[in-house]
Amino acid sequence: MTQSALADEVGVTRQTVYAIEKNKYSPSLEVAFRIAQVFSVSLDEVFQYQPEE
Amino acid sequence: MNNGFNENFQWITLLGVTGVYGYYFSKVLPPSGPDVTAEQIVLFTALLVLLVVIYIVGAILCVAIDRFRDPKEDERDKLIRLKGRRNASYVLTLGTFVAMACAFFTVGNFWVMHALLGSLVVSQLVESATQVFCYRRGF
Repeated sequence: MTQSALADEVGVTRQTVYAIEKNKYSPSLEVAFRIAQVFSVSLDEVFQYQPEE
Repeated sequence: MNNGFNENFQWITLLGVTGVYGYYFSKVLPPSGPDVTAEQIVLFTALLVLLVVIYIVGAILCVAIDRFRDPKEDERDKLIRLKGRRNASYVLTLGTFVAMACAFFTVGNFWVMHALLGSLVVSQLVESATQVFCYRRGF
C-alpha cells in the first residue's frame, strides 16, 4: 500500500503518513486506531512505545 | 518527498513578507520627520496590494505543484499552525509594549505606527518560520 493510499483511507495528508513512518510525528489515538483498522491488526502491532533516553 | 500545500505556502509567506516589508522598511528608515507621510502611506498601500497578489499567485502555484491533492489540513497541520500562532503571539505582545513605549517617549506617530507594523511583520515571519521548522524537523 502506498503512503498516498493509506493517507486517503485514514483521512490525513501523505506528509503526515511519511512523518509517522519516520518517527517524526506521534498521531492522535483516533488516527492510530484508523491506521490499525486499515491493516486489520491491533494497535500494538502497528505502534510500539519507545521511551526517549 | 514533495512538500505539502501548507509547507510550500509558508515558504511563500516567508519570502513574500521578507521581500515586501524589507523593501518598505529600507525606504522609510531612517524617518524624515516625526509623522507618517502621505508618500509612505501610498507606498505601504501599494506594497500591501503586491503582497496580496503574491499570496494569491503563490496559493495557485502551491495547488498546481501538489500532485497528491492532499486534503487541505489534517491534525498535524492544525497542531503545527497552533504552535506557529503561539510563537507569533509572543512577538505581537512584545510589539504592543514597544508601541506603547513609543507613544510615551517619542513625538509624532511615525514610531508608534512602525512599531506596530514591525511587530505584525516579525510575528508573521515567526509564525511561518516556526511552521516551516516543524514541517522540516518533525513534529
